[in-house]
Amino acid sequence: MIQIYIEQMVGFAVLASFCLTLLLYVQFKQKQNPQTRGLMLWSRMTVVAMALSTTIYTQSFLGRLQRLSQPQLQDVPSENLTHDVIDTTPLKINRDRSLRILS
Amino acid sequence: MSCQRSLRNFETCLRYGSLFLVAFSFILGLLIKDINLAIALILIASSYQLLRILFYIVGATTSWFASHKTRPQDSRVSSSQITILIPCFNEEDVIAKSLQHLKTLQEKNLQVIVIDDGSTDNTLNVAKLAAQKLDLDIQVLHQRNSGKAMALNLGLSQARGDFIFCADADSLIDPKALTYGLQALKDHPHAAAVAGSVRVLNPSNMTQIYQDIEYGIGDVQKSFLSLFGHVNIIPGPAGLFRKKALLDVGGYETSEPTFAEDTELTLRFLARGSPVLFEPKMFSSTQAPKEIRDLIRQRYRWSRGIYQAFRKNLFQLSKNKKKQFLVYLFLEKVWTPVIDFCLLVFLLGQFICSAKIDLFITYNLLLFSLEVVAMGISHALSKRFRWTDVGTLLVSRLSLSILITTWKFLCLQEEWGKAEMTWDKLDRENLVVTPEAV
Repeated sequence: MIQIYIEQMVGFAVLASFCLTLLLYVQFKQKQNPQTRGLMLWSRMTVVAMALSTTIYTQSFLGRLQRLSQPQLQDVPSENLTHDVIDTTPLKINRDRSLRILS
Repeated sequence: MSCQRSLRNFETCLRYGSLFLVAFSFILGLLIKDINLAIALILIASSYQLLRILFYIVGATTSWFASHKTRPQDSRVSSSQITILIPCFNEEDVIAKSLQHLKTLQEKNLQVIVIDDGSTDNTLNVAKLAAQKLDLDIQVLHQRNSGKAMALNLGLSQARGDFIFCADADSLIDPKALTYGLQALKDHPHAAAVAGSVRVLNPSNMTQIYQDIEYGIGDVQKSFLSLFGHVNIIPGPAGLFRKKALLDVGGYETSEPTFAEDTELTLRFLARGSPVLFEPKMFSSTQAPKEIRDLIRQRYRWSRGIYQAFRKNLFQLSKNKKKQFLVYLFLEKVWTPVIDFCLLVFLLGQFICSAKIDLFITYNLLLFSLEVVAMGISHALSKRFRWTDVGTLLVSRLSLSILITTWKFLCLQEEWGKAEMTWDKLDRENLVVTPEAV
């Protein structure tokens, strides 16, 4: 479990570096030329991308946690496992009875 | 004219094509669930990046073995006069210190020319005062603010030496640098110039240490290219030229200046078929940005300037049967930044979609291990790193390298979109000379 949280922290650090660069770029361009129109597009694109990414990521992270919280086969003690004998012989259909029901 | 138009169209295709590729990589990263398929795609896309580091390592090792034998010093070369050109613009904090440092140089037959490019501070007076005080042949010239290339050409017109060493006002030249540079030019009479190594002066934080490592790994690349005489950048703070070769190419470009005059000049040498070499022992220590904001400002100028220089010399290089070198330059300056960024967004897509970071870590560890080997070779070439730098490189792989990869891509987009650009000067700190720096 701890490993998962460490993974997420590293992942977030990477994602944060990426988003920070985009924000720095917007700020850098604003300083260069405050009247640039394209900047608004860049800012909006960054915000939309971040929002979408966060939504998808939250879903996948919750899914991963859920999968982990469900007991896996190897986690169940062997004495708790049932050993039912399953009858695998083919089912015999009483043809005459079936026809009688249909009629 | 039609060639220019074709190039313009090609750049537009590159701009939109690369944007499409980035979007496609991100979506692919979100959709691909099969880890084996993802690994296969990463390996195919990064094959050039991985192979080139391997090639550099092999080439630099060969170069190191070749240069390791001791060479006898030729007194005739040592007695040649060298002119040191130092262009400066608003450098009052550092110019006196860097001029004073010239007294430590082993070569004594020197002419120093300081060119003040219309500074608005007290640079001119500080330089004049230092010139009077120091026991050196120092000439201080002044021009209206016209750019670094124009300042260097003015200095070149007054140079008496057969060899020209270009330095920056904030850089400290190693005492033996000129001796090694001259020896390299003597060993290769056809070479036009020797590129030196650049080190960060007193690196104190992660940003500066990372830049020092980058410069060191860049030296490995230059050592490999030096085997073919095709070093593609003679750095501003450490470049030694034959004066004749410099005059033959017409000096620095001033009619249509780029933002990387050093790269532009180097590519012009290569387009003419004049070899450019690399000498790791000829080094200068220079100031490097401490803050991330300063780093991105510097990289913006470099990334765009280098691409401008590449574009400017494209036709000349293709005319002069330098097609393989042109392909190499294209791979380095266009392919690598675009694919690096695509890989980054692909891996981010994978992380967002699966909440797993193992693929990203594995890929970066592979690059990190190759870089550590390159660092080791760089250290063997010029004894510059400490053990702790390996840790800094590891941390920077997950932070600063992402910033720089993204930044390079954005700069290329701007260059292809012909966005306006102005000169941007970094703030200087007072030069503090420590024993390690000398």
